[in-house]
Amino acid sequence: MIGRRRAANGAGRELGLPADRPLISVVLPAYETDPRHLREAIGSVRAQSYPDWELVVVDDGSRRADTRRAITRAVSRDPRITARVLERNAGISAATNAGLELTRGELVAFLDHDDTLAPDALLRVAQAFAADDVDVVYTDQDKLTADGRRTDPFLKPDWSPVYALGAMYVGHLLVARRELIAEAGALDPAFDTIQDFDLLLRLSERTERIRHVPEILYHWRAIPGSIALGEDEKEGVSELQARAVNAHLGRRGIAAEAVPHPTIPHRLRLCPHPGRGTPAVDIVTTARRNPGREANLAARRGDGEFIVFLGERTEALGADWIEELVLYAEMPGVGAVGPTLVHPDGRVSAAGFALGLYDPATPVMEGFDGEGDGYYGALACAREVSAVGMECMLVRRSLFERVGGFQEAYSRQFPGQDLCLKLREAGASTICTPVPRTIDHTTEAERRSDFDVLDRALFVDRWYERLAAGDPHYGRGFLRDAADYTPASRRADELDLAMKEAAR
Amino acid sequence: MRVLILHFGKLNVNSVIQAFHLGEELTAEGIEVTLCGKGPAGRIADVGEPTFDCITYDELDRRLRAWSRDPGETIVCAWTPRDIVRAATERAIAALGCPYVVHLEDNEEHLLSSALRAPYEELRRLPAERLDELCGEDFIHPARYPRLIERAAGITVITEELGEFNFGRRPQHLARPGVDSERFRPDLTPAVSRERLGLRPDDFVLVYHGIGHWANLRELFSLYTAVKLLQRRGRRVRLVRLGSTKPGGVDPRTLQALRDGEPDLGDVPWREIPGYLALADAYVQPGGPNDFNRYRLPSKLPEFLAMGRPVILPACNLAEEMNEGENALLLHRGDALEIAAGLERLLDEPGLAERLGTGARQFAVERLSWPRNAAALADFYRRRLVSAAVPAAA
Repeated sequence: MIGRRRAANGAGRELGLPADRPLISVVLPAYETDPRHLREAIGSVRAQSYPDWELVVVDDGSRRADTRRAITRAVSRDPRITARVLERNAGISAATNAGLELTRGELVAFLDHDDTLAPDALLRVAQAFAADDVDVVYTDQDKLTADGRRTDPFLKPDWSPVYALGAMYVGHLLVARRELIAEAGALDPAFDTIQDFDLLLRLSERTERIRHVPEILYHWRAIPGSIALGEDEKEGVSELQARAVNAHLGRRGIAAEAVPHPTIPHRLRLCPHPGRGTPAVDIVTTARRNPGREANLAARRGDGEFIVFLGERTEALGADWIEELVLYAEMPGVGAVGPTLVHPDGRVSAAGFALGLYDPATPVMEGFDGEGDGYYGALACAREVSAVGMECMLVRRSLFERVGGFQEAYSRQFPGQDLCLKLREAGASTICTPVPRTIDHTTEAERRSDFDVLDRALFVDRWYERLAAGDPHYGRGFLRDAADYTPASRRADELDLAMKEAAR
Repeated sequence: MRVLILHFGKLNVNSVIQAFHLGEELTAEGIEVTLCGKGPAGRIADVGEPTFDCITYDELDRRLRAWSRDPGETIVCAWTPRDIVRAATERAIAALGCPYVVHLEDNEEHLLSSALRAPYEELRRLPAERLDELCGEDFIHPARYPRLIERAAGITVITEELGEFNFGRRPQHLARPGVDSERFRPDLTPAVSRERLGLRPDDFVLVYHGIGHWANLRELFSLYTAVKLLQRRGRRVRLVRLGSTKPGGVDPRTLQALRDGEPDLGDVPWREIPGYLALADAYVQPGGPNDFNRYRLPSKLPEFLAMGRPVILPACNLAEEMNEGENALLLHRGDALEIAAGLERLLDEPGLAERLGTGARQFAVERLSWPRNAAALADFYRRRLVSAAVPAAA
């Protein structure tokens, strides 16, 4: 809130932090590491703008003398660095757990032995913990090539638990409260290779206070043998990933099974458990004129636990399409589920909608190959989105009624997106899923004739602040004229531009 | 006593109208008043014929030199802590060795943040040189303005919430604005016929005056959207707009599409405003009780109330002293749907519009009296003059 501020407190004020800054323990397990890379990793910690950190390096039984020497030298140079040497190679989880035993910090950050942190990484993380009641923080990341170039920025959505069931999107940098890590049982050696992903799933069973810092603060080195280099570099990862997710689903009591995607590595799809009960679902076909009012009227006539709204130009394929939607709608915290819509030729019509002030609801990945991966699995996996449209959406009746159904002021556009935002306000998320396959037969001419400037104004006006804040699920670092995941960096002169406009 | 009012704006902007009325009332109390603003000085004629002195910033230094020979009992009123005012205040206290009071009428941090489209805390952390480039003289300077407030002999605020910015916990006075309830009264003849504006006699007409800019365009957007929504529902509601509209802040194409077809008279001299307000069946001050509205009191609100028409306004500051359904309808979200619902109540509930209009007029006459409010302010100035230590020049 503008106008109120924390008490001034020296360096803390400069950094935008409270006086009692948390100590962040960085745990770095090393094994046979090229000393150049190890020095860079350690150097990136020492170069942090945030002062209150400690680094715990664990030598996981390296035979390379130069690796061991690099660790010894780092410890001798900086009292904030400690090391633990394991006599035998124990694997990354065991080594990290050995390092965790030495940590003193309230927060623990995980750093791989050849990766680097951006200079403000720990500062931004500490600010995120200070700003909210948060237990886990993750950041955006990119890759470091063999010659040190930064490439492949991965700008992530805010915490998306359903997306995490299909893609290991959280990745690095991952920071969590030390107590919570201990409570979750630390890292499980059975999941070496994807041990941090498995830990994240277990942390998410204990807290929902997981926050994303939308800045690239971690540089992941892509070298032979690393997952960072390519999706096929490590064998059996998808199966291990499915094991971790299935264990997680089992602990949460969700009657579904994760299986590796048939064609895309490191992506999972969820299938309903055979024999799980099917709740009553009312099907409401929606008109193109006054769709909200008509749908509200029709919905009142039914009494099913769920309602699926289906546009008159929408065709859902497959005998089990409703079950596929119900699978997600029954998950805790989910309010609405809609499928990725594809044109008859297989190109994507909309994989959910991205929200913004100037383009209030843009179809995500329109024109992409409907069978593709999309942006880091955004097409291959079910994921949280800000909104789906009325062309096809399934809603739990009790939630639908609690938020007052569709807003009837819209004459043609936006009632579906508006409903999703009302559900969000009520604490329920919206999921877009690639299954069932759903064809949108709306022609371009029909789409154009549906445009209504007053509907657009009503939607922008009702959700102005939310739209202005950017889309938490599409990601805030992308150009917004087309929701095709084109990264945009904030121009240095943006402030000057705004100032000139204000002065006009 | 001499009061030097250092205003941030041109001498005919809405905020100067408040300073003008204050100057008139203080002069009537026997106080020597000088109002300094952006030139040319003749602009003040748009507001009225002042009985006090009006100068521009070009003339300020000469005037300060003249006064420095005989500073007398001078108090400076820094009308907002914006940088043009801050710089002039520093010059005035250096020349005269007198105390000053800072007048707060907006959440200045919100204004700067809105204009630069960046969180204030982010701006505050920028280096001073970068802030020099960005902020200019028309906004606060995050590195400098708190000190101006901390060293003031007192702070005057138009809403209690603005006290949050009284960083040094200086003596504080609630300086409510007023309205000339003779100039703004219910029985005025409209300045122009409805027919000339393309309005039908049975149209339900709203009049909104004031500049539309980056800070309030979002609210104007709500008002236009509400009007268009009611028209789609078959209601004959029209919006007459006075004042210029600058781009920025909201989707310009959509806003323009909403404005099409509604009478837009552009800038109208202040002295003619009452006649145009007389066209209205009701007034709407759009917006909800948010970070912008909680800290301000739009200068047009007292005028709306004094005109004896029903008023719909955000449920904050002045509205906290009003009663829903008696002298106003209150907006809790302030969006188009809520505004439209309020206007439909006025159209459909027999006797409501008349009751609210009567209640609004009574509220304006009783609570928004310039003579009473200015006398209380003069008393605050006198007390600060007596007890305040003179701050050292920065």
